[in-house]
Amino acid sequence: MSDPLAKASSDALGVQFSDVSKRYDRHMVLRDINIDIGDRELIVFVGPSGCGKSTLLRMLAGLEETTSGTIRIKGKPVNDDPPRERDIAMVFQSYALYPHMTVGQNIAFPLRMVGEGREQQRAKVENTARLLGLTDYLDRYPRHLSGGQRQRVAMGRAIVRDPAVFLFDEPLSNLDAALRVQMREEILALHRQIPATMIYVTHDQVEAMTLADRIVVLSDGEVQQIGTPHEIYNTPQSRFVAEFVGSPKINILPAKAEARGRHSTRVTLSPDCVFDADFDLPDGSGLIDVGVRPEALTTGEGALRLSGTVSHGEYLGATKYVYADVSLLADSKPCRLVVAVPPEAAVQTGQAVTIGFDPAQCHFFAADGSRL
Amino acid sequence: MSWSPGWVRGHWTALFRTVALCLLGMAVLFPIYWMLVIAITPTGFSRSLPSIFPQTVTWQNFTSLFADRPMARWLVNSIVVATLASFLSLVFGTSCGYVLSKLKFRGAGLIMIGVLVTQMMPGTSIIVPLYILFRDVGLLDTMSGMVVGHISLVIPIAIWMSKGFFDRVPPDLEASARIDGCTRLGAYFHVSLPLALPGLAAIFIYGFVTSWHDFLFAHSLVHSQQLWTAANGITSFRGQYFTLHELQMAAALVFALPVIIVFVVMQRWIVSGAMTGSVR
Repeated sequence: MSDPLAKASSDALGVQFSDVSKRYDRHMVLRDINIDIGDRELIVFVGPSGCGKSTLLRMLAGLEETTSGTIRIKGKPVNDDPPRERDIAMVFQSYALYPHMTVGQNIAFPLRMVGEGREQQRAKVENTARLLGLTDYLDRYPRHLSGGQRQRVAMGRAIVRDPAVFLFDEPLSNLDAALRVQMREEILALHRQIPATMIYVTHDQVEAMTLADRIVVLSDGEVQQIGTPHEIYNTPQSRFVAEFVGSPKINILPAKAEARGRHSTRVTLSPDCVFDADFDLPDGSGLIDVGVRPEALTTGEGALRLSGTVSHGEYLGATKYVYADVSLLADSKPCRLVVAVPPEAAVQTGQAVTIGFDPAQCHFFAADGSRL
Repeated sequence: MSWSPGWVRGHWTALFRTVALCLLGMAVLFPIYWMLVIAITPTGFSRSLPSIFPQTVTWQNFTSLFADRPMARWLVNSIVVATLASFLSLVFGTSCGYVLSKLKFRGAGLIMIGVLVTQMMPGTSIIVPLYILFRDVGLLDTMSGMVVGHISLVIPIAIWMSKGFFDRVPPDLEASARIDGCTRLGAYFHVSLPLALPGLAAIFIYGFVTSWHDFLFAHSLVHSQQLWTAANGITSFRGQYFTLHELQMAAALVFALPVIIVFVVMQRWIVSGAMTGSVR
């Protein structure tokens, strides 16, 4: 007999992936995916190209078959349901507008397919067009619109049906940088206005960080971490997540580690830079990776210091990134660090520099990439 | 005005190009003009024309075609056969082309090659086995037999052409339609088919022209004069000892008209850029 409590909790979920896997012939592209997405949550799947994030979205949409596991929408298993019966709407990376239909006909298409009356269709299309600023373009064809307008039409076609779940498959990747920022704001505004679950796929970590209530980081067909943008950035559960999120990338330094007792490990970055950190080292001793974000490093000050030589600098207006080569362990190659410094900091190429940091802001990763 | 060497060379090039194009145009159009001249020359006088311009104009050949000969019947037969053959080839060809384009399955490439191989054999090499086959199944000397014969000529190209057109319809469009409430068949009818319309028009024209102009199948598979197509009928003006050139040319002109009409009607569907704006 089913557990009524479990039923109630699954009903509160917008979407649930339970042990979902996908295999193409012999190639496993998604492995044991378990994600619970809350009702009205905006969740972002992020990961490098080929990690399986779009496949996962297309499986949810019903465009790809699920090899094993269960996908539920509003608590109802949908594995065997065709796309039209899943109460979803999707915005594609390519816009996927119907070129033989006007903007108005494009937006009305989903309503026409469910047999909505003409008057209701017109009212809903007009409302949607007003919401997206498309009122003046209803009689135009997609070929007469700019990229941003086309993307709005695609969003209009999605929201006009009032679905339970919105799927966005890299919808902004074809737009220029300024328009991307604008459309991001519009998607956020839409999320505030429309109380529906939204699942957004992107490879752009900035989009993920700015849009998401929670982020799912995927790599090689596996979920690496699920968490709020703050959790993902500040407590990455693997070296991959730490490196994937953040620009410039987190600095990864090789170090020797030796267990000192319960929750205490001595970390040696260089002969002059040794400190104790509060994590357990299961193997007792060995090589680990230390991750430090560029903004956690300073030039000159800090509880711990490393010596290096400035390679070059990048001035970005609000900040400046200094790239410095530091020598660490005797048997390791020189390591290049990125340090975020104030834009007015005077740093010359070739100059000797002392880089300071606080061990409390370091992340420690075992050789297999897992967080220590 | 400057008479620089470059200016002079440019004008000579333009003049040469214009003269060359005029000559080429005349060479291409002269047979049609000559066909018209002979068609409006009184019967029996075309062998002794004093100039390339018509001396005596008569419409007698055209009226004779329809009054004394069953030209109207042959034209109707041609129209029925060509329309049915091209329409049925379009229906079956696009269905096959769509499946081969959109549904991924093992052996699809092999099927495409198999279809292409059928085009490598000339009609003359298959007409005898086809004749025997048609005789055995009772399709010989029937209108439906001729339609089937012409379908076999058109359908391989229709499959290849339609696959090419469906390949150009972005897969996201159908996926989007299926999410928007269509079944797979609905997505085909609402999205893929309208977008492949220019291709379908081209396939129809190809099928119509192929069937209209076919002589080998029409001559071999049909014997009864009332079932002749126009292509078959035109040859009847040519005898072993005597040829009615004037009637034959008048018939050839009438024969060319329906194809031109079909092309003019269908060509407005053949537009480029049907997919513009759908995807990035």
